[in-house]
Amino acid sequence: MHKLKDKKLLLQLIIIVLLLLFPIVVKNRYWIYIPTITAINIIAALGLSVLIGFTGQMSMGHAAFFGIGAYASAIFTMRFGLPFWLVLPLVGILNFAIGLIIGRPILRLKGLYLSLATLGFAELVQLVMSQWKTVTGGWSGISSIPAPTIGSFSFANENRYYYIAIIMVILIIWVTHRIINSRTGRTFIAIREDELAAESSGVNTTKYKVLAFAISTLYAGIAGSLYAHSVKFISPDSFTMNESIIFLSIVVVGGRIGSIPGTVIAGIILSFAPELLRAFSLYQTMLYGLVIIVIMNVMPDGIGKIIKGISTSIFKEKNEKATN
Amino acid sequence: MLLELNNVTKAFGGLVAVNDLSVSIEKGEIHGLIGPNGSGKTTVFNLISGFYKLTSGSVLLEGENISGLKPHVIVSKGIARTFQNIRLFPLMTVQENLLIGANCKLRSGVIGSIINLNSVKEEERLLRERTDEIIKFLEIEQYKYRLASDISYGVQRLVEIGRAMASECRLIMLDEPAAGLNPQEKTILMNTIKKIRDNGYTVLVVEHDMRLIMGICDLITILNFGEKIAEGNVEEVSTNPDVIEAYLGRRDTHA
Repeated sequence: MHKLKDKKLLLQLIIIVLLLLFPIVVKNRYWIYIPTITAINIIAALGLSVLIGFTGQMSMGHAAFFGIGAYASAIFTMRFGLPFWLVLPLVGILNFAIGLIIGRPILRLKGLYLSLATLGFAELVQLVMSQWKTVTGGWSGISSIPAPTIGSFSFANENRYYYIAIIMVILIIWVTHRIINSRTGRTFIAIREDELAAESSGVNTTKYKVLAFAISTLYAGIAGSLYAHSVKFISPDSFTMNESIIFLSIVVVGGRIGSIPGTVIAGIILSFAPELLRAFSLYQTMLYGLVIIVIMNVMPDGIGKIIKGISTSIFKEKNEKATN
Repeated sequence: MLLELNNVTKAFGGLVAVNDLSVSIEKGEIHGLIGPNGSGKTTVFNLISGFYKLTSGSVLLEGENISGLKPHVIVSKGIARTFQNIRLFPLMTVQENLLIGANCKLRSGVIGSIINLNSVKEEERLLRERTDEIIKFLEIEQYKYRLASDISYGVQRLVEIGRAMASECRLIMLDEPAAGLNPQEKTILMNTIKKIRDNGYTVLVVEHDMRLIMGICDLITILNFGEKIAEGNVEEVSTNPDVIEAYLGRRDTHA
């Protein structure tokens, strides 16, 4: 067993080292920007994956919470002058609380009705973003969002900000792994497998569904905050149904049945794709959709299943001993 | 008296599924609930386990009124059930299925389980010990790490019963546990149910298989059209003319 764990750990360390060396090797600003945005998308998508992939619920308004995180972060740093390092966790907590409050009534609904309710909420948030001019700047949005600083050291530079994003996404991936492999994660999965049976077995399904929802909004908030200080300009146009669908696509392509590595890789593919397809200008959106269609046809259960297959054969496990 | 149904009535609009039903179940009993299809047996289960709200009447668990409580709360109060068409968690192992059943007994909070506190580790260890005991008791050790979707029907039945036992309940309600089992599996089931009772559980069984009912029940309640038409031990019930009529129809004297 030790040999197996060591192999996996080694692979993970190699990947981390490569990621940390990346900006030193690659100097092009554009090519630093894409991984940064990818990391941010992955954080948001992982949150959504906890809700959809592992707990079997639905949210079609994920971009709204992403946006709340972005706006809250911009306002806290600019209007209240709080340092980014304090604001980031603060926004996470704020979004978690919002998720708990909104989740309770919304998650009483199931299936189509749940989807519509999340959609409706997203529209409401859009409305607030565009109409509450004094706070959000309305359609003009908020610009000149400050970069994080440590003393006189500023992270305004793409190269430096990249490290914040990478460290955060590595941290979030680790935390998500811990959540899913805990008793709580086990309970989420049971609810996905058969909510009625879970309730009949003594699981307070409402409590856990709301918790999963709040976790997803927390992640979205953190991703939103990282986004705001990276692109330095946000407006209601950045947080529409389009963005919700992109997050949804990453989760579905990554693995409907929930898969952390699947979601990460899907996030990479679907964040790099639009940039790589820019050369095709007019056909960019169409080809992006085509990418998703092709992947879903070739691997209907998502990338996650393929990864599981590959990792089982690389790290040949003789027994199927449950780890935790 | 472990469980009391007092004048329980359930109406779905104009349709009265259960009508003024009163049943008492004693501790340590294996109590059978039988009746033709549509007589209200599964409705009674759903009323006791909290999935349906009572139209009138009450359900008391050792004197405590549990009517109207949410299903997961009723499980923690001490009543667990199985389903007619088996509802396991297909992509989870047998062991994990049982671990979920024990969920209601957990003390530590969600945050604790995520950051893996020592108190949580200890609780988890005890949990696994207990579920291991149940797995051993049911003699399904070789299936412990198999996915629930990957085992035979008869074993799935036992796993579902194990999941119910994992909640440390006082009363186990089995909804047609013999359905779909072959004769060998049925015999194993009968012996298992007796073993469960001998281990301190009280059992309420809904069944159509008369051999099973007659073979294990101490007391049998017969329903028809949502009402109790007879109650008694095996001998009393099998010779009761109303029961025979309910199942077989009235003998046509002009035949």
